[in-house]
Amino acid sequence: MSRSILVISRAAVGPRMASPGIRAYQIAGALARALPEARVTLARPAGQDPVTPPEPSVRIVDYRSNWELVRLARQHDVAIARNFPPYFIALMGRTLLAFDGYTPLLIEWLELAERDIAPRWRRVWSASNRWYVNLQLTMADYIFCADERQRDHWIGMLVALALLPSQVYERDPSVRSLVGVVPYGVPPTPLSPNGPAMRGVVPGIGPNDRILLWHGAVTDWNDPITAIEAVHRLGQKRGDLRLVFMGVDHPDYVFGPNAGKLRAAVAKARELGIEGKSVFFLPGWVPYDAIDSYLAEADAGICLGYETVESRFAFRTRYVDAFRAQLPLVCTRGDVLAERVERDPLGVAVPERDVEAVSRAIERVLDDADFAAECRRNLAAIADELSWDRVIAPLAEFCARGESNAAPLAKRRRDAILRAATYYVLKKANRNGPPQR
Amino acid sequence: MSAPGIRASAQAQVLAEQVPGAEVTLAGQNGDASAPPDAPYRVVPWTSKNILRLVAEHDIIISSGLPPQIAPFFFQKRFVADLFSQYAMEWMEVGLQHYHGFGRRAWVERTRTWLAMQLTAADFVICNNERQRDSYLGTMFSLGIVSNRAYAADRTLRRLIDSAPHGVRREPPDWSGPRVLRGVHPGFREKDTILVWNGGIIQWYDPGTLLEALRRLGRDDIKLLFLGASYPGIGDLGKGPRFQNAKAIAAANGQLGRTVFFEEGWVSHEEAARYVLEADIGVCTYWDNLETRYAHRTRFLDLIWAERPFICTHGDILAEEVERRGWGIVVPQQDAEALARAIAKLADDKAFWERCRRNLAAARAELQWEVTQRPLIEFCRDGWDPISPKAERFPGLVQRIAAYLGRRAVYVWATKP
Repeated sequence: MSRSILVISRAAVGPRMASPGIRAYQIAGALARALPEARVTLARPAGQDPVTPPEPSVRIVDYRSNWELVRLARQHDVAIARNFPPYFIALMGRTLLAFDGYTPLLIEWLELAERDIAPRWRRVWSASNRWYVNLQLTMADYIFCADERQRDHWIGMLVALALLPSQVYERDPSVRSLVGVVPYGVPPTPLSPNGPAMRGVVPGIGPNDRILLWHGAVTDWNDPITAIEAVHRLGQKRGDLRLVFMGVDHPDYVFGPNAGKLRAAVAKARELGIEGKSVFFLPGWVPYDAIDSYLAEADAGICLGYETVESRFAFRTRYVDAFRAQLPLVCTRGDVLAERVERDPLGVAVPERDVEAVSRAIERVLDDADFAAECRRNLAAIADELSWDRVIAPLAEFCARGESNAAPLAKRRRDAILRAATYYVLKKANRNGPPQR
Repeated sequence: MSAPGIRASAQAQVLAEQVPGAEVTLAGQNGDASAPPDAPYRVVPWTSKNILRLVAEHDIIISSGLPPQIAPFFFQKRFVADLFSQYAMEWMEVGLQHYHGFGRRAWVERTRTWLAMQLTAADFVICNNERQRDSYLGTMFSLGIVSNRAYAADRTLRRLIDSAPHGVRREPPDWSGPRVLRGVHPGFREKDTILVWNGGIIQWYDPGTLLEALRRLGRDDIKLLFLGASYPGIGDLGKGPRFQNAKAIAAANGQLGRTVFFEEGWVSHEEAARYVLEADIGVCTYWDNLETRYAHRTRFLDLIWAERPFICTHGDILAEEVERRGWGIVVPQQDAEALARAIAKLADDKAFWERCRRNLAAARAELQWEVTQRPLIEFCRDGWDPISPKAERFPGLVQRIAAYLGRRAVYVWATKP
């Protein structure tokens, strides 16, 4: 059966991309491999440098406006996106809409509200976000997310919005045909470093140093301070430790170099006098095809956060790189993958804000060779388990099936119009400019 | 009592013991309710007439279904919703059993609006497990209950909604008590291996596969007892089509009264313990669907308490524990072959059975009610302010009570006989 599938990236897809762009790019590639007869198009915001398609058969199209996106989606049987502009209501019943809920948006936005929005506007801003997400779920013919826990969360939202009527359950009591799980995958290609990236390149990092790589942005829900304090503490007895923050200029400009957490981290490293000695902040953003060089040079990965409701529902996409590179991880407990880190093990999971535990964990992954070897074996196994070609299956199945098991269309369309209207009213009412979405 | 009554009594007990100075009242819907002789709480019946007076007399009201009448007290009192089941799914199954067409849809809408009302009225919500919590959190996000203020007050949101799982019986298990099966009931011989299905046969269970597995095994020394076919207070929940169907299959297989027995009356909570203690293996089979995913099969708690290794279907959260902690054997849904193998394994491999039993014994301490109900005890004892401000919730509450009353009326009209 030949189908046309449009994968929409709302974030940068190009030589430099963060996790949303990478996910769209890899989904397009994996769908093209899984459904060889299908015609797969990857749409990205215009104005970026050329990029090689994930598969030769995938067509990459730039879009300039949401209207252009609607026109494009109209020409396809299935459209896949992290969020659909409200204009897509016009396509309901014509193009199947698959919503990618791999980040629990509302929870992340609660964090961002505290950083970006003046207190008196927070309720309005959050309400407009809420109606925006409610609208996405109303439009969706299929919802997929990164793990079972997120799935429970989305199902709870569907219940609230009357999107799980008996008709859906009667047809499929597992409800997998409406809400599926597509983890953030591991690319099928092996690690391919090309030349030195840190050792001997970054002043202060020598060939025999042990590199702990913080491979991704420093977001508001990360805790770089505890990592820096632990490295400082270990620095009293060993001089070979190098903590490297790999990317500080996020390509989607949400967590720029001036974002609060990163600034605090730099200040902390300076205060302890270890910036450029054992803690390094690499400026810019490492291009997607150069990441491997960094991963290959690292001895272990590290990413700390807090045990909050954000972490409970988070799928830490950056860990996937560590799986591919077989880097033992030091991470904070609380999220789904941290449970795997602890159980398999893939490294060491630590309690939040515990400098002592982090110090011990770092020593363990660096110095206990047997443990590190065991982690590497398990990392290889999970990389295999999470390969894109494997994890794409439920979404590919939905595309191939080509029919919706969502709540009845007429009611969804009515509700979608109502929810879109509510969203617009709230958005207009908010006079405190939210960050671009 | 069935699970909800057992749970409410246990909560009353641990609150009276653990919250200093607390005066605890257990209000039951049945007129004949009475407290056990040494209970540290009082028991009263509640009706639509005295419910408001009861609410007025207390500071904290805990209920598995807060009635809309509480609205006038919304600002003065603290309310806890004990949503110990994922009602959206459980009642979906109830709807499939009882209603058709528009009536079924009206029933589901009634459930949805009822849940929205509970979650909005509650200052604190408890549920039975983390999966239920994750899904209820989703509902709360959609309803706008997780506001910026709530999040700022507690970033884990554990003070908004937390898991307080069902606990085990308090008294230690005593296997030496009077027998109720072997030597008493003519169907059970001294050397028989007894499987017990310790709960009702409700719509969403699958006894058919179990009967098929026993038929394939074809062993006279393995006996199955279905315990508790009827439910107290819930009319035909237990003796519905699924129960009749199971009986018919057992009869057709020639098992009925020979290797398979049905205890048709409701067995009291105390009596049930005797049956479970005398059995060798617990068993319960169902479907691996969304109802199962969120279910907390409270009947397993009695099996854990009595250290009876058990067999259950894959998909629910306790089945995960069975697998991870070695409490028995988990089988795929509708797989009679795997089920037959599991039964034979537990019946014949004594060392394995013994290992499972030790693992079950190790779990008893953490499943005591005063441990599992810690979040509820803390809410009542520490008296923290609701992290989702009442003033923010009030407009939504008014709207949701109205929606619920409207949907309930539609449902009543649509399902009139």
